[in-house]
Amino acid sequence: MKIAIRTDNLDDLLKAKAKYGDKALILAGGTDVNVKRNRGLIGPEVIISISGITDMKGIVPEKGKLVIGSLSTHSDIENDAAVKRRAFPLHMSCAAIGSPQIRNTGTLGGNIGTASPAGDTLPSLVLLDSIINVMSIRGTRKIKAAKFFTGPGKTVLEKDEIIYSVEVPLGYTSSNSGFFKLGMRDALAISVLSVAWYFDKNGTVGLSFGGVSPVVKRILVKQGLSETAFRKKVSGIISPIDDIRAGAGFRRGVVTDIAFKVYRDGGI
Amino acid sequence: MKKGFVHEINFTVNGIKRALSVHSNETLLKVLREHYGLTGAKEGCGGGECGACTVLLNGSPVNSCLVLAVEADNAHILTIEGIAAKDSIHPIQQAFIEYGAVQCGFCTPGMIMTAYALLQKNPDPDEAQIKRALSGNLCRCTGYVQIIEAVKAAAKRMKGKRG
Repeated sequence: MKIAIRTDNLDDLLKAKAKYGDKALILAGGTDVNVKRNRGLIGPEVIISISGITDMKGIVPEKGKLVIGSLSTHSDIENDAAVKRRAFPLHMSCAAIGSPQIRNTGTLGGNIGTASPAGDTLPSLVLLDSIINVMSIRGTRKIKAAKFFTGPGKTVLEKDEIIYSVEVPLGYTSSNSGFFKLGMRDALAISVLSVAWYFDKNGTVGLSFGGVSPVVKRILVKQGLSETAFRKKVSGIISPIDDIRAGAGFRRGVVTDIAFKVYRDGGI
Repeated sequence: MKKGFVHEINFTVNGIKRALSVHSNETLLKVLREHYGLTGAKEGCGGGECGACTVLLNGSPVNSCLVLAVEADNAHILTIEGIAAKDSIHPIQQAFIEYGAVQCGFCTPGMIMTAYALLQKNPDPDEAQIKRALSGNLCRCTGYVQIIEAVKAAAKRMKGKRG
């Protein structure tokens, strides 16, 4: 590390990001960055600490959606009444992350920026057609969550851009939607795979899958498909790999089983 | 905007106002242990997976190994050393002793801080709520049963005291 910057001002952040580009790593909650830093896995030239920027915190209801500041912690989101009532999969995702300690510091923007294929908020954000608002000194862009991620750790963010907020559409309750994480244990385990889903009024079922392809995949299917046809559809869009947490075959088998159970029974 | 490797921070540690120069890459855990001699919080994994370094930051449990000291500017920090009244121990500490919730003791300060935060927010938690609250603290000795019993007993006593 050659330069350390700490700011509570959004304009200063945008200027610094414009100046240093991809040499600069943004530190929000620190629950990913500091793990890698403590273990000597990363040593960015420039680090910009942004936890003091209040413009990027908070959950604001707007017509038909919530606008969630990217510095909102997973605890903030998990405990928000509107998220729980009307964006239920995201509530479940945030509740499944790490541990209470991690959720108290880790942020939504950090989970998006890290862009891990196993990131627990990503299946819910993609499923619900969330919009990621990014910002730079050049202006703002709205990017659909489904188009934001391009590979493990990779996004469409330009060098000078930061994740400012996320717009999450409402209407997803605990009775018509959900999220399920499979890990080696409930807490403190990175997801082996995850599934988020909703059932809409017109007989469409939306399902998204984490941890089984380089980026989260989503399908929309009509109710009433045969088991074979449904499993074929799910299996067709995923491309799981072997890693330290599970084998590809295990992932493929289990994710299609869970997806089918959700599709058949309305939940898990 | 502040640029540079040395940062002046002001924060409250166990009720005492402190001002300190810290380096950009120093963790809160390191500052608490090495600068203030508050060695209750332990470094177990250094990766946010064990909870042995748990302290309260503005009332919420955090892994102090993953919080940079600069991020604690203007914050209130509470460690295991700060929960008891003078010349006594806290009811949660007392219950941990009585229920055999301490064996090697390495996880204990983190466990107690997390339990403390839980009981501040929810004085009457059920077993599921206790388990969920403690899910970020690993113990390799006790098997958790005694720890959960101790938290239940502490909750009961603290409630009684509040009357």
